[in-house]
Amino acid sequence: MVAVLFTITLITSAGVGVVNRITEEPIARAKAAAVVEALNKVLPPFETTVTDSLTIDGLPITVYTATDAAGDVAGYAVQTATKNGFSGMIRMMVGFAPDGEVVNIDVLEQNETPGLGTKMADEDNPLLGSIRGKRLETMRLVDGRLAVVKDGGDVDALTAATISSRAYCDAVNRAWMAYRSVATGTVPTDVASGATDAASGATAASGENADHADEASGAANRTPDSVADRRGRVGDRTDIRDREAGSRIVNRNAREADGFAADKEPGARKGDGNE
Amino acid sequence: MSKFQLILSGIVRNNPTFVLVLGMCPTLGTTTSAVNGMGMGLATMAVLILSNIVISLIKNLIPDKVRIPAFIVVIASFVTIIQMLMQAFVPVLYAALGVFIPLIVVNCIILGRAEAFASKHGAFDAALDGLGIGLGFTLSLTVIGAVREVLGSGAIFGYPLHLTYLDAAGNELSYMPLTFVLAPGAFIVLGYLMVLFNKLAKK
Amino acid sequence: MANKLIVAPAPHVQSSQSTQSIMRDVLAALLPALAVSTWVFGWSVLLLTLLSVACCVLFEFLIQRFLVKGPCTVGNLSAAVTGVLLAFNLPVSIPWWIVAVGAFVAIAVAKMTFGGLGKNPFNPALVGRVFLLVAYPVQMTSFATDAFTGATPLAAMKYSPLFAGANLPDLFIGNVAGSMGEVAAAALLLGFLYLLWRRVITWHIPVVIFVSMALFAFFAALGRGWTGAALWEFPLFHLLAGGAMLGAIFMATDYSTSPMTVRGGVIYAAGIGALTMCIRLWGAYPEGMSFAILIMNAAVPLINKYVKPRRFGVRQRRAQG
Repeated sequence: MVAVLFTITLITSAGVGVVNRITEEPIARAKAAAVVEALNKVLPPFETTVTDSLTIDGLPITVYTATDAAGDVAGYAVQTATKNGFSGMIRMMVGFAPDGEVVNIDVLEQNETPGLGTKMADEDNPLLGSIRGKRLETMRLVDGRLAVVKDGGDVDALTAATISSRAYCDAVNRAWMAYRSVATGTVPTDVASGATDAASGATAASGENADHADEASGAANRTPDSVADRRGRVGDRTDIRDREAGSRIVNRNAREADGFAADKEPGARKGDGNE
Repeated sequence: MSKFQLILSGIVRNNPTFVLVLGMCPTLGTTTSAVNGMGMGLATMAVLILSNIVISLIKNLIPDKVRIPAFIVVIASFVTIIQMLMQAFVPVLYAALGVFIPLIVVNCIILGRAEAFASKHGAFDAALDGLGIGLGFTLSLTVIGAVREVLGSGAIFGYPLHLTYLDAAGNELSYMPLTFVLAPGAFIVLGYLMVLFNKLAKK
Repeated sequence: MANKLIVAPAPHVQSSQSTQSIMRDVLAALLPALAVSTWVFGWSVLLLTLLSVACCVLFEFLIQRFLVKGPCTVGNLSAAVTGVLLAFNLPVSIPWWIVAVGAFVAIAVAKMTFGGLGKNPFNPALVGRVFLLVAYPVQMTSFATDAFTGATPLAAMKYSPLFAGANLPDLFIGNVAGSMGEVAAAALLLGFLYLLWRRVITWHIPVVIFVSMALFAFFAALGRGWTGAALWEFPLFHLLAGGAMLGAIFMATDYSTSPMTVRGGVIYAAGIGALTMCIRLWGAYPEGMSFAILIMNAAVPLINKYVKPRRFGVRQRRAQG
């Protein structure tokens, strides 16, 4: 009896293992392609990206700095999230041009009320229309953050979906904060509370330089066809980091356990060809 | 009965959704569109055929007491394999079906047919039975999905039918009731289709 | 054979009430609310109500004639009452075809599928209304008219954190935004009194709903740390705002969807009151009455099973627990 079960389980697990080996690579490629597709929707044309993982308000935020064929920064795509949706988590990808203009926003995941909050994922919804093409500093800000018209800002909310609209602004604010911290070296503060987490800045700094060594040697997060530019770009990134090492809270080892982050965030350690 | 009748019975007389009323969870959860329903049905059919074949091949080797655990191990392995293949080669469908793919393991249809048929017949017959039931399931899910998609999203197999209008504020609103792509609509559509199917099948 | 002995089964005492006369009384009780609503929102109210009634009657007739192939019961006016109640649950700016869809769902799905009048477990007008709310959320939550811009009082209370409570006299008269039939609290109360006088309903269910809602709101206000006038204004606000009056008086008291006994009715009503306040205070929607009633409709068979009427002549067994 035990022998039979053991044999069956052994054979079937072997079968599963074989298929796993076969499908490992296509799955990784599919995941990477999904990230690329999301990036393509929100950024101008680009060649390669560098990933930065931050944690703001306890949520994992990923910034993809995209560079084009000429080696200049083409834009910044931030994968942001908010817990304040009507029915929970909303995740989206916000694309910023190098000058800070919002190129596009793609809603990756949301569970809002169908017909009301789900409209935030539509092509021409009022929320996106208020933000796209604008530099966020030029909009009417409440406490330095974007807000819907009802709360004193100038983002047009969705019809009958105030809470979803507020959550959308919350996520964009977080993306904006992340973008500013990567592009201009501003210290990322918690968007919700406005508090600065300066205490952990010093300890994070020492870990950062070690991380850069890994990055330079392994170059795990570069695509194969960017070998020539690799060293130059790594040098650039390291410069920015070194400059700000003392005050930044780039939580590079933030590998959140949440499934949703793990799938879409290749990060600097895994070598699955972040493009 | 003839081989052809074996397959046909799985589609009509023993239709898992409308007659046997098995596998209700994926039926209600994945039929938000015709394509999703069809994809779910096909995935289930694949697992059903494969597990039926294997179980009928090893049926004489398994002692009666550990019959169910053995069946589950076989079924679960095939579901895992199918899941990995889907994730690798049809990622969009994989993402759309989400958690319902691993739930195929506990789909009553699969264990039910393993118990009722595969463990008592030869491999070829078991495969045909799996094919018939699987086809019945796929057809049912596709039909339910299509009805819900047309009535709820105003689209068919992903092609929008543009049944929308503009209101005073300029919002584009659909004529079709959203309820049908949500849970209440699932139950309503399933109920009425079940009545219709049974009425037609009696003739 | 001189005098025939007439043998007949119970009941032996007949009343003058028939389904039709009861329904006629309900319609009469709804007239004041209709009048106030027309005065507040305009002629569309009358038109939409008539459309709703016409659709309900038509669908019932068609289904009975061609699908069920049974006797036509349109004359008992129950479809007409469903039509009026459905219209009263909709905003005045609703497109006409949505009314038709709602009428279809109310009659075909909620009533006829279960076997017609008396066999439906759920209130048909509410099923229609909830179906429409899920199906057309934008149209069903647009209450802005020429007279009223902005949200209904309940929506304002839920979504605008600084809302200080609506004008109570306005709520009583009906001078606020809302569905067509729910705004005129005073007119609805008039209808309630009429129905009591005509012995169509008893006072228990509506009163217990009001009491349970008021108590819940009172304790919620206490819990929020409010004192003084707010402690009785808050419960009063919740009684007058939204569909509480309409639901408690006209929908919760529907014969086939409420318990058979008075005691069961009290339990049913307390449940409705508590659920409504739960949804209003902590739920996803600003208005909870329709959902609360439907949920308690589902509980009615259970209530009927455990709350049996006392049979005359049977002594109460002490062991009954």
